[in-house]
This record gives sequence, C-alpha cells and structure tokens, in this order.
Amino acid sequence: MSKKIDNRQIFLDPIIKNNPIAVQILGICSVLAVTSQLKTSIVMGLAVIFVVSLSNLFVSLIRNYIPSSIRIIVEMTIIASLVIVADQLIQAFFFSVSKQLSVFVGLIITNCIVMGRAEAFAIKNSPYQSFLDGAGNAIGYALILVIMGAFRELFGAGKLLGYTVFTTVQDGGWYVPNGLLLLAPSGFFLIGVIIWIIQSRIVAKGKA
Amino acid sequence: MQAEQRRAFLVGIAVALVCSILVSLSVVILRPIQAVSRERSRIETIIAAAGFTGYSDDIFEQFVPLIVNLETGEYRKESDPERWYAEFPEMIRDPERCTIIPKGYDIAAIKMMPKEMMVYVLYNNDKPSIAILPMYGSGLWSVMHSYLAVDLASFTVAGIRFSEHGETPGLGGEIDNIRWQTNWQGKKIYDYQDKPRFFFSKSPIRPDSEDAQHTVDAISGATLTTDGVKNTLYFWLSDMGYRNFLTKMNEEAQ
Repeated sequence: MSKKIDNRQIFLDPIIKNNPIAVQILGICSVLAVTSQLKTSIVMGLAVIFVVSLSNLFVSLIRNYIPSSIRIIVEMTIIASLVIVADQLIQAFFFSVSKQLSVFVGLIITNCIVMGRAEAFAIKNSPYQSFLDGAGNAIGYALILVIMGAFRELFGAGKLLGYTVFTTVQDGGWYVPNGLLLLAPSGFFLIGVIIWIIQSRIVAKGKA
Repeated sequence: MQAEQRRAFLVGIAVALVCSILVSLSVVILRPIQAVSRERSRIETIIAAAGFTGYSDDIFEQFVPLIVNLETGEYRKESDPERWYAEFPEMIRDPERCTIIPKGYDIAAIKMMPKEMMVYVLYNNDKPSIAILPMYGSGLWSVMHSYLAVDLASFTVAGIRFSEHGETPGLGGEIDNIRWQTNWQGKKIYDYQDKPRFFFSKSPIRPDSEDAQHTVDAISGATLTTDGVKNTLYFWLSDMGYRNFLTKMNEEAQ
C-alpha cells in the first residue's frame, strides 16, 4: 500500500462502484434463493452485514498473530462461529423468517464475499479499516438483496413485507401477479439486469 | 521451524477456544427467547390450520386443549397445555410412555407413539366443530410435524400446516406453500370403505368424480416428501391414531 487509502472510500466504494454482487459477481447463489420476499431479503442482508463486518474486524485484530500456514483455517473458524451466532439470533428474534431462510443462513459460511474480504483485505489492514471494508461490502450485498426482494415480492405477489400493495385478481382486485418472479429463474434475469445497469452506467463511466 | 509450529498450534487452539465459548454462550443466552418464539409460532400454526389468520390471544382462547387416549378415544381437559407441549419431544422418544408400533403397521415410520396426544377442539354452540390434530411422520429426510384440522361434522379437512420439518427447500419444502395447503381444504378424510384415503394428482381431475374428493395437487420434485405426508395422515387417521376419538366427536357434533 504505497498511497494512503481514504476510509470513506473503503466504506463507500463496495456499496455501488465495486459492489460484490454486481461488479465482482460473488455470492450469487444466496441472492437467488432468499429474495422471493422482501422480509427474508432484509433479514439475510442484516445477517451478512453482521458476519462480514465482524469477521473482518476479528481477523484483522489477530492478523499479526496468525501464522500464514493456518491462516485460512483460523479465518474459517471465526466466520463459522459468527454465522452460528447470527443463526441463533435470527431463530430468537425472527422465528418465522428463520424457518423460511432454513439452510441459507448456515450457508453464509460458504459465501465467497465473507472469505474473500477476510483474505483480500482484513489479513493485511488495520481493524478499523477492515471493519469499514466488511460493512461496506455487506451493505452492497444487502442493497442488491433488498432491491431484488422488493421487486420480486411487489410484482410477483402484489405485496411488500406481507402487506398488500396491489390487490391481486385472486383476491378480487385488478393485478395479475407475475408468478415467474417468485421462482428461481427470475432471480437470474433480475440479477442480470442489475449487473448490466450498474456495469454500464456506473462502472464504465468511472473508468472513462 | 519448531517455534513456528508451536505458534501455529497455540494460535489455533486459542482461536478455537474463544470461538467455542462465543458460540456456546450465544446458544445458552438465547435459548429462553427462542423458546418463547417457538411457542408463539406453534400457536400461530394451530390457529392457521383451523383457518384463522394472524395471532391473537382472543382467538386462541376458543381453542380447548384436550388430552386424548388414542386407544379408547376417551378425552379429558388439559389445564396446562404449554407444559404438556414442552414435554412432547421427550415423550415421543420415551419407551415407557409410548406404545411400540408393530411392524407392518408403522407406515409413518416413527417406531413408537405416545398413548395420549393433546389435541385442540373448537366448539360452536357447545358442539365440537373443528379438531386440530397434531401428527408426525417421516418425510424424505426428516420427521415432519404437522397439524391437521378436521371438520368434525363432515369429516373433511379444514386445513393443514407444518410446524417443523427438514425437507429440501424448494422441493419437499414446498409443503409449506400456502397455495398447496389450501388445496387440502374440503377433502374427505375417509372413503366409502371408511378408510383414510388421499391421492396426489399430476393432472386436473374431474371435479364431480368420487376421486376428486380425495385428490390434492402433486408437488413436482417432492414425491417422497408428499408420500410421507400421506402416510403420516393414513397412520394418524387410522384406528391406531385418532379414529376412535374422531368417531366419538363426530357423534357429538351431529
């Protein structure tokens, strides 16, 4: 690191300009699985913010003590423990959501973003910057999740957070819900569109 | 080199210790809060199975908890349903409080069953109208716990909900899909031979046919799970299950 990196930049860059999903294309599987409703998307986003920012913080705190030969195992231990804590918290405070998220909270362990940030950033930067970097990346992830969750629930079921926005035809209203949006393939389409918009509008301009 | 290895060892153990303490602490501290959430979710499931929406104590007060002796169909009121429910997971594994199910009869693959079960009954003008029957049986991967609400006068399904299962999300897990569960409403639980009968159909069925009264949509990719659901219902609606109790209630409901 020859030039000093600005903390603000560390935090803000990954939210849109270097978004882990849209630009780095990481952690896509969980995005497809949990975004059919806004509520599950929000809870999943919060869980990832919790895990990534804290795992970055802890890894960075002990980075000078970790022998490089067991570096990845130590990182995994920290990440796995945090994921279990997050899972327990969700079961305690969002029980019905935890049933819907089922295995996907546990699968945060395998989310490339968590391990990627620990390996790429936290292992060689100060705790405060690592925390910011983790939080920024996770918020970037959560942002995409929330956008997709809102879109899919609104147009797929006519609801937001379970409250009816468009009354569907089944309930005697006017809106014909697009059932495809509740199925996994629509996640691919949407994520493709989001990646396209962000890449062409924001990233390409930044480079020019 | 030796010092390097020792350091790796020490750091590894220290990290593992700290992490394990963190994990155990979170589990222990959060357990009481999870128990409250779980109880609330159980009540929501029961209320939903009976066809009401939302959670409210006013609604749940109308649900009368009864302990049913499965062999005779006799029942008595239970004053402390929460305690009974808390003991339930242990009870179904305790050979002393259970009957071993003879081989060949164990279609739900649960090996043993309690001698008594706690059901909820809704009354309408002092006559029993809907019974919410807890059931459990093996699916593809897991034991599925469910509530079947039965309309007592007509012996039709009033609703079905699953309180706990570990089936594959998106495939077997679709038994939680409300649209599929709505499909069950109004289906007859016993056929003309007085045996429990349900079908899963992959194609539409003539609504006026005899079979239509027993047919529910199949879920693609979930054949083994839904077969488990069917076997669970067959078992618990048979003479070994709630049959005697249901007959008794059916007479009272007329």
